[in-house]
Amino acid sequence: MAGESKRWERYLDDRMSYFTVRDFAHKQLYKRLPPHTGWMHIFGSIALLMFVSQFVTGILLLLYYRPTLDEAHESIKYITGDVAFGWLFRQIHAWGATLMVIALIFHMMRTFFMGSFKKPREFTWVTGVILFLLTLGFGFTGYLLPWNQLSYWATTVGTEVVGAVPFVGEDLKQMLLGGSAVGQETLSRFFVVHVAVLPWLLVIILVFHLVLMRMHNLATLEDVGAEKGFAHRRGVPFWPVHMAKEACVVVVIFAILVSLSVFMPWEIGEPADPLSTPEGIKPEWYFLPSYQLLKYFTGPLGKVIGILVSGVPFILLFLWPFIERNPHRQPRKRKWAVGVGVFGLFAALALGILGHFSETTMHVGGRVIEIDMYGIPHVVDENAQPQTGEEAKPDAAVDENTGAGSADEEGTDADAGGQPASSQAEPGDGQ
Amino acid sequence: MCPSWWRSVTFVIPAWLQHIFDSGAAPIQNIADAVIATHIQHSVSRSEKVIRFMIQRTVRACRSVLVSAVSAPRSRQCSIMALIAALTSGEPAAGQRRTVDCAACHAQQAEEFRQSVHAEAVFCQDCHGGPNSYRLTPEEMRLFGFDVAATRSAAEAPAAFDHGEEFTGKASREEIPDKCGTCHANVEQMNPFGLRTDPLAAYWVSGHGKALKNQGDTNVAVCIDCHGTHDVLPEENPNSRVYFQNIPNTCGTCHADRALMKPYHLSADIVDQYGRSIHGRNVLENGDAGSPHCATCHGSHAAAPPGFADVGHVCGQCHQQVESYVLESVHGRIAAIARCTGCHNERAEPTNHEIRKASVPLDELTRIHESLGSGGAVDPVEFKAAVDQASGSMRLDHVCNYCHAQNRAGPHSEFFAASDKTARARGEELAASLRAAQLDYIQTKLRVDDMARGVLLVGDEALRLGDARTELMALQTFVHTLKRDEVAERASKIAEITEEVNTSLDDKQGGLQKRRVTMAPVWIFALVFSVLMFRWYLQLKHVYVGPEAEVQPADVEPRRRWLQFVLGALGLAGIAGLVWPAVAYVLPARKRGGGLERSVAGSDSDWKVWEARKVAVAGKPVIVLRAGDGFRAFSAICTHLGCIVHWTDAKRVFECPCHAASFAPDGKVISGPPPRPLPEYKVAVVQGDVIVTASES
Repeated sequence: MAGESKRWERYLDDRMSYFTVRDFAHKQLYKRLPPHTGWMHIFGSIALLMFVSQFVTGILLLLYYRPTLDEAHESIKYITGDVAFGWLFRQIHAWGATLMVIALIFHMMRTFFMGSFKKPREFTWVTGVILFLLTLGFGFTGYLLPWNQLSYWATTVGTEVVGAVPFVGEDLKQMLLGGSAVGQETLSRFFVVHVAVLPWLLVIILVFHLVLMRMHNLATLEDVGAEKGFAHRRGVPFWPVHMAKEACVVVVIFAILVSLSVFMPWEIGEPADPLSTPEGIKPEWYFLPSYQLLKYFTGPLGKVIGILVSGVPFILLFLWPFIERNPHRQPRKRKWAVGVGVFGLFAALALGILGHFSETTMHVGGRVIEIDMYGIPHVVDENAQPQTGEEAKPDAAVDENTGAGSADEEGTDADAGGQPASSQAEPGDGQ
Repeated sequence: MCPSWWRSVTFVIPAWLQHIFDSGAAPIQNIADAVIATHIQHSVSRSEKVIRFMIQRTVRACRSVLVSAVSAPRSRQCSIMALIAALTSGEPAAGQRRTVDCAACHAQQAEEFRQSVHAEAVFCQDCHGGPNSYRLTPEEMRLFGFDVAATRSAAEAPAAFDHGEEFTGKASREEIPDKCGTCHANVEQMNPFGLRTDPLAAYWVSGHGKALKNQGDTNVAVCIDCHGTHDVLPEENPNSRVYFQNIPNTCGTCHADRALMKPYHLSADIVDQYGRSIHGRNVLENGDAGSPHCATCHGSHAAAPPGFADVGHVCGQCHQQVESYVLESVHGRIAAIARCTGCHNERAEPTNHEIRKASVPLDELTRIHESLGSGGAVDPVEFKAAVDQASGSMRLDHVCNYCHAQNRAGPHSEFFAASDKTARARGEELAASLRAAQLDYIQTKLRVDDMARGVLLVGDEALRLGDARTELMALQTFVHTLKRDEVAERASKIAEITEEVNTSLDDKQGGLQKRRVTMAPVWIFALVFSVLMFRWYLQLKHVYVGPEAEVQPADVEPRRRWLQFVLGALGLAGIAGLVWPAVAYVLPARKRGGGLERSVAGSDSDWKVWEARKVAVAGKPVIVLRAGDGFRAFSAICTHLGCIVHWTDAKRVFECPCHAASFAPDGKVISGPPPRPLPEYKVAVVQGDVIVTASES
């Protein structure tokens, strides 16, 4: 490969060890991945690509965005309305966040179910979880920046959760907000965290994550300690073969991203108004499961329990490589671990769906169904008589079971108390 | 009630007690007078008016307590006052005479009076004469049937009670105006209360007053008919007969009484008619205190019907702009026609009281338009029919027919016939202009609203359309001039604005459509690239992976070279497709949407002819000049090297400080090196504001 060195190569080599650098890069580029490396292994790259896309579009948005109460919303309008392709970069940035979270979730699922996090890759997993949390942090801080009604109130509600932490909650919340309510200080610090703190943290940890990944190469499905390795020729070269595979998918994902931007654009909304809360405030979809879970815990003590309970999945995620210590990687051989994973996914999905439909009104077969904050549907009588619990029950049976089921899964007494209370409270609230 | 009067009591007690000890026995009234005198005497340094007023209030408060203490001993709440009352009666509590107050017999009247506005300052004897209280021996008490605690019904009291010589009793209806006037026409007595003293004089010139005075007609309204007798309440009290919402009913007690109105040949329907009118519904249903009630047009004390020719002036009290326009119109020159009521009626026979809403308000027109078909084009004929149905008054183009229809039989038909044809044609033209402008505005407004709900930003358009709305509102008033050309000119101004807004909206919508269409090639590109790349991937895998794979990347089969080439080309195109928007994004942003940005240069009322002002429009300096024939605006940037020109009034030229260039008031180059005249901007005067729009005309 090296062949005869050219003159410019020798010139560079004298000055910056060109050949050493080239050989290292070459080795990394043509590194052989295990033969079974398949389509499931591209989610990490897609997440990386989404991150790069977010990075570039984020920098472009920074050119025109102004993080002040008076100007934030106006500047977003300006970007969308007046700057050439401003709408496109804003939409790609907004939708990119969603796609990035999706890519990360698939990436983590693949890693989890294939047991790739096991020795020696525990730290790769832990850094990955940190990267996931950082991404959620990006989502949370970035959501406030347009300074519209939804973002303002979602942030207000979201930071209230922090206030329920025992002893230090209020201080913690004030530190987060920079005051007692969401205001200029909040905007400033969310902005700084979003564009300066998180990117640096993410890049540093991402480098660590990637170095570890290259160091250990991709995991096979063989048991820990029983890896047989593979012949060099059977391995798949990262470049150009694996990259070609990724390119097939990446271009389609970009087309999807742009299509979403064009056909389902994020609205700019009304400017934030601290004096009136709009209807149906909800956080971004990736926060919905936690948000919905927290609703089932009421009262000062309940809130604390709620925060602890909703923290459990994340602690489990962090510590999983150290909890599941059997040497198997094949999902068939680790039934309980897969069970926990599948259960966690379905619980999150169920809570997310409940959260999505809670506090909405639906029209099904000519009947109006109101879904309360716990996700329990109530049929609204057309004649507007005060409704009773008996009326609602037959129609609500199926969903109520789901609601009860998902709440029971978390296994606390608080939900048991919370649900009857809700069905009693509802008539008063509704009328 | 204790605290307020207690303060008053502490205020007068020293003087009072002193007086009691000096005089020994004296009736309450005398004591009160003495207290007043004492205070005036001791307070020479203060304004007499203030003192009098304060003392009046103080004494009144004390006295009302005394009255209640004496008349209802069992219910007394403050026994100390009873003690003082006993003291001031001049005799010990166990004495032979007892004091009786008017309220002892006239309990109901006393109660009404206690709640009335007069409880502040008037006593029974002020109107009825005689003393306010009587001291009777137990024998007299028994004789006249007074049982202070029990007897409340006037019927049980013997009629023979002697009220004394000064007692005048109930005033007759003829006497009432003067009776009230003793105070209400007295400046000294009214000033402390801030009340006018002219009601009496006004009453005597009113229709009611004249009939009373000249014909001795006691059926006409006197003070008490509108204000009540003992229960006079202030105007702002919702229970008052003269509260604005109660006035129609108060007048209606007589004016809706058919039998009572018959001798006067007056219609008894007017109160009903008023209730159905736009004004009546505003007052009675919406509680709008700004809407006129009976007294607004007829006067209150000086109530009199406005003459036939004066109806317009009465309406003009509120509708000033309309009145001045009507007077400008051809009708304005003819005194003897019903200017307002002739048109603003539902029925063909004009009634003065059932004024209907003039035209359908813009917002309601918008709703009608929406109900006919959201978004799509609405048939103007259908729209017109729907508007006519919603309108309470006569249809816009039929208004003229009421007088000008040839087939109308009536005393003035020949007079009208002379100009019938012209008038009807004019009316239809005006109606058509107005309706076209309304439709134009509404359609544009709906379009802007519709687009505002989407992703496009149409704030500038909405603002500009606000100008059209202002113009349209003004036009709806201006049609009262019946001036065809001016109306057409104003309507065309509205059309111009909506046109401008629509062009801008088209532009933006076109951009959005273009985005969507662009997605097709994007997807074709992505799919072609993906499929080709997949084939390339299979080939690479074949080449690189497997025990038999011996070839190096450079040795890919030559017949597959085209794939590599196409992929390379597509890849480059893709990268270019990504970089191009980014570069365009970084370039300075330009304002889209046909330059709807507008700046207000000032008000035209204080703008002298040949005065020029500078204003920034879309960030660029613009000079607005009031030339002899109107406003003109030019870019202040010299077309030579971009220095800022200024207006030199003495020479009446724009001069550039660089290179001594000068431009004429119409922007043309007079001297110097500039290659082109100054670009001109659009100027419009909207409701007195001089507005420059960013589009260079």
